[in-house]
Parts: sequence; structure tokens; C-alpha cells
Amino acid sequence: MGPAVLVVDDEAAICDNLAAFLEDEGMQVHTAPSGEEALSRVTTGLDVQVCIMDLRLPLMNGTDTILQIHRVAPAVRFVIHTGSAHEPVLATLHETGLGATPVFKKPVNDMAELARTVSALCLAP
Amino acid sequence: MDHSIDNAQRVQFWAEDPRVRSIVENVADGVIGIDAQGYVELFNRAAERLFGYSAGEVMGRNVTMLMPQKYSEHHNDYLRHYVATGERHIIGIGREVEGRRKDGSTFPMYLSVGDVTVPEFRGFIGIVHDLSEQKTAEQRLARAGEFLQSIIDSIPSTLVGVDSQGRVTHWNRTAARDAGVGADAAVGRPFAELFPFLDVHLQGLRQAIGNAQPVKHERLAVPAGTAMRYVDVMVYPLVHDSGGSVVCIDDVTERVRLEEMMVQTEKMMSVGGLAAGMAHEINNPLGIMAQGCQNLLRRLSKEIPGNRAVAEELGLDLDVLGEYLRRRGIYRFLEGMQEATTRASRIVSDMLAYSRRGASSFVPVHLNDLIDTVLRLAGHDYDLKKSYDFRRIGISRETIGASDEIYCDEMAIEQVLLNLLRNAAQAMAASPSVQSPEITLRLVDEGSQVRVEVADNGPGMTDDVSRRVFEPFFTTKPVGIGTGLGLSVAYFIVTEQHHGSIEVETAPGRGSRFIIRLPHRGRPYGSGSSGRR
Repeated sequence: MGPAVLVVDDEAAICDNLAAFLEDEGMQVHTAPSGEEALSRVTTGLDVQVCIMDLRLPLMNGTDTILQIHRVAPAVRFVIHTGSAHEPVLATLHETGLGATPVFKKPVNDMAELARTVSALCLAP
Repeated sequence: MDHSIDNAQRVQFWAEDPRVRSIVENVADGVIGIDAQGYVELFNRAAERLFGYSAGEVMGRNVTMLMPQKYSEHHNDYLRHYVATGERHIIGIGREVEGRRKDGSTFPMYLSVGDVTVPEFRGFIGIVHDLSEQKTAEQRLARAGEFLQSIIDSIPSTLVGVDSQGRVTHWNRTAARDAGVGADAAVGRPFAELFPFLDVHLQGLRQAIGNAQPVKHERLAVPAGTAMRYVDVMVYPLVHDSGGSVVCIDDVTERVRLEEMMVQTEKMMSVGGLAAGMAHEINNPLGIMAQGCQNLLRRLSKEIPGNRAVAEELGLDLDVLGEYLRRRGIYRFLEGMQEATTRASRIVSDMLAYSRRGASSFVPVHLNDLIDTVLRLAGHDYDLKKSYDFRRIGISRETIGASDEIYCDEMAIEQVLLNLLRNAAQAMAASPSVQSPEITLRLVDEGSQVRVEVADNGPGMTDDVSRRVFEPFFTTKPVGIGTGLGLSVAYFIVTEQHHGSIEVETAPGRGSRFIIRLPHRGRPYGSGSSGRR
């Protein structure tokens, strides 16, 4: 059984594409269209190792979602997948003790690297 | 005083008629009479004043005592020669010579000499007119003229004085250089003839010269070879001269170019602001397309177990499908789409650079370390690998001076240098004449700033190209290779963000050398008192 991954993005097509690629890599992929839904699913028992998080989300933004999920599931690691220009989130995240949070800027032309990063995060202590 | 005619005789001769004596004594010019041997017979009051001798000191002595040596040494011979042959040099004519005063000083004078032959006497009478003041005035005038020329020569503008007919009266050094005509040849010629490049605008200028109205034409475009130069032409009527004017021509090409760059930069900054706002909206769809393409390609291949399972279930031969897709060019279409999304995203990210203020991200950086990073990045640069192997290029590095440390936005300066390396590599790769491509990276500590040079031995650029390299969307690369923004972004990062400068030295066949200057202690964009917002 490969790693379990949660993709959070309000663009359904992005969720679909990431899910398709990562599933082909043998991962179990769940998707959520909003921060609220992602949080509620993790809170209600969805067990994932890695969460791929968009930053601009309709209500609760990506940074807040990460912080909330981190509170209920401290073992979950995050990969940021954003199309925004300059997001000064890394420092905020670093302060919370989340450790390294890789950032992928959309458009990601080669998802293989993203998949490798996800795998590596799963193996990390 | 021992001569053939004694004093009594002499005095008698000149004093015979008191009217004559009175005239001679009272004329304003010096009057000196000598006998045929050159001995002074007459020395009037004006002569006393001029030479500082009293008549008594001179009478009966040779007149050569009143001349500087260059005149005196041959005087006796002249006299003898004239008396013998009647051949004239000065007698009956007069000319400018120098007199010698009692104190040994000399002065310029006009001397006219007449031959006097009366029954009792054979000799000469000289009228001495002092030219000292005239000479001084002439010299002052000449000096004033030289000073005026020196003033107009010192001014870097082209300055031309013209008379009411439009003919050149003054011509300074810059005018000589620009028109390729020296002052000697230019003075007197019609202005219009000497500045043919102003031909189109000359009607207005002629009118201005005619009307004695000040006129200013700014930024006249003047063709210069294949390029355009810009000049400001001003015509000012002379204040104290009826009909004359002075024409002043300034070459403002560089200023116009800089202003254009500023305007372009401002434009791009607003585009950058827009891009920052839109980046999310553009990058999301681009991501969907790029990732969709990648998934399409993967799910068409038989390498993925899931594909094989579904194909088997449907009775589809993936090898046949692959062959079909190849033959119908489907893969090429997909690759084209992938490349297109890459290009679009690069334009967005280049435009984003214009929105970056970078104030918070300034850190002390050793440029040598930064160059290490950039060279490593260039070695792995995907775009470069496609067309060129960066490792084939010989890299030489040089550091001159004590410090290579600057305050900068590290990522931004990396982007600038990577861009220069990429351009150099592409230029050298595209030029078959470059046998052994080489890039020289040189750091020079210039005190308050560090100079960074990136020089290649590639094909170089023509003037037309090098002049425009920093313009946004100007590119010489084939469609799809460059966004045309690389160097304009570099220009923005260096000049606006880091208060440095960037320029290029190049010529066709001579390679290109980009020179960047970055202050050691850079003020981040907008944080300084002089920073523009």
C-alpha cells in the first residue's frame, strides 16, 4: 500500500490531475475542494501522511488550513502547490515547527518531481 | 659729436624759419632728422617723450641708438646702399618697426621716412607714430577673440554663430567634429549647407534666424546611418548684434534612450503589478493544461500497470494505439501544448519580477558564492540542455580587489546572472563560427561598488541590437526560445531594485561583455530617501 495523500484545491481539474498522476504512482489519493472540508475529513478520521495544499482557497485559506490540520494531526506533512506570486507563508509555517514545507509553483510541468517529494516526506521521520 | 658739419650749422639749418621750427616741435608724432650717414640732426619734443632721451643726448649721434639690435645692425648698410643706388626699402613708404627707449625697453611704432635734399643738406626725415596703445588694443581684441573661441569650444554642444544671411560666423570644436568641417572652412558658408541632416527642419530654423526670434526644437529625429539620433536645436538671436544668431545643437540621443527605458520600466512595473494579481488566475489554468498533458501521455503508455489492466479489459492493444498516435502526430501535438504552457508560465513569472520590491529580502551575499550557485544552476538548466550543453563552455573567473560582498536580493541577482549566462550560451551555440565557446566572469571591487562582468566570445551584436537589448519584448531569438523579457527584467532588477547599473559592450564578431555595477551597501528598493516609488 502506497502513501495516503490529500490534495486540497478549489480547482477540480487540478485535484483530478494530481490524483491521476499520484494514483498511477501507486498512492492513495483523496481530494478536497476547500480548507474546511479538508480539516473536517482529517478531524473525522481520514488518515493521510501528506497533504498537498493550495494557498488561495475560497473561505479558509491554505495557511490557516495547514495550521488547523497540524493541530489535530501533527504527523501530517505538507507540500504547498500554489499559483500565487509571492506568498510569505514559509516563515509563518516554520515558526510553528512544521519543518521543511516544499513549495511547488503552478504550473508544475513535471509531476514526477512532486511525486518524489511526497514519497520522501512519507519516509522522513 | 665730431662730425663734418658742426652744431652751429645744424641748428641754423633747422631753425632758420621759426614757423617751421614751431611746427616740428609741436606735432604730436616724433620727428627725427638724420644726415646721409645716419647722424641725428633733429629730435623734436614728441620724440623726446617717446624715446626718453633729451634732444641734446641724441643730436649728432648715430640714429641706430634708437633701434633694437635687429634693426640697428644693418641700418648703416641700408643707408649707404640707398644713397648709392636709390633702391628703397622704407624711404618714401613707411612701415611698422620697433623703437628702443633710453631705458632699453622697446615699443612698436609706425615709421615713415622721407628723403630730404636741399642745397645745404642731404638727409632723411622720419615721422615716428607710437603704436603701443594700438598694439595693446589689438592684443586685447585678439585675446578676447581667443577667449570667446575658448568659451564656445569648451561647451560640449554644437555652437554656431550665424549672420542675418544664415552664414557661419563662429564655429566651435563640437561643430567641427559633428559636421566634419574645420572652422576655417566653415566660417562664411551657409549654415544649411553644413548641417544637411537638419534639412527637413531648416525652413523653420531659417525663419527663426530671419525673424530674430528664439526658437527651440526638441528631440528632432536625425537619421545617422541605420539608426536614429535625437538632437535639441535652439536658435537665439544675438542680443547686441542686429540680425546675428547663435545656433546650439545638443545630441540628446542617450537621454532620450534612457527616458524611453524609464517609461518602458514604468510600464512594465504596472504590468508586473497586474501580473501579480493575475498570476493565480493564469497559473491555475496553465497547471491544469500542463498536468493534463502529462497525464494524457502517461495514460497512453503501456508502462503504467493501470493502463494495461483497463486496455486488457477492453480488448485494446496499447502497442497498436501507440503506433496510431505516433503516425497521426498526436504526441507532437501534446508536446506542443506542454511547451506552450511552459512559455506562458515563463512570461508570467518574468512579468512578476517587475512587481517584486525585494525590500525585505536583502541580505549580505558574497558574489563569488552566488556565481558558484549560478554556474551550477546553468549546468542543470533545462532550457539550455535542450539546445546546448553548458558544460562544453570554458568558464574562466577572476576576482580583483578585496571585497565581493554586496547587499542584495540573492534570488534576483541569481536570476540576472543566470539570464546573462543563458544568453551567452545561446548566442555562442547559434553561431557556427564560435569554435571554443568561453565565458569570462570577472569581479572587480571598485570601492563603493562591485563590478561584475560577464563576457563571451560569441558573435557579438550590432549597434542596432545592443541599443535595444534591455527593451521589454525585444528579442533576436527564434519564437518560443525567449520571452524577450530576460534582459529587461535584469535591467529592472539591477537599476530599480538594487540602484546599480547595467550596460553592454559589444561589436559584431567581438563577443559581448555585460557590465553590472552593484553597490556594496545597497539600499533596498523604496527604502531610501532618494528611492522613487
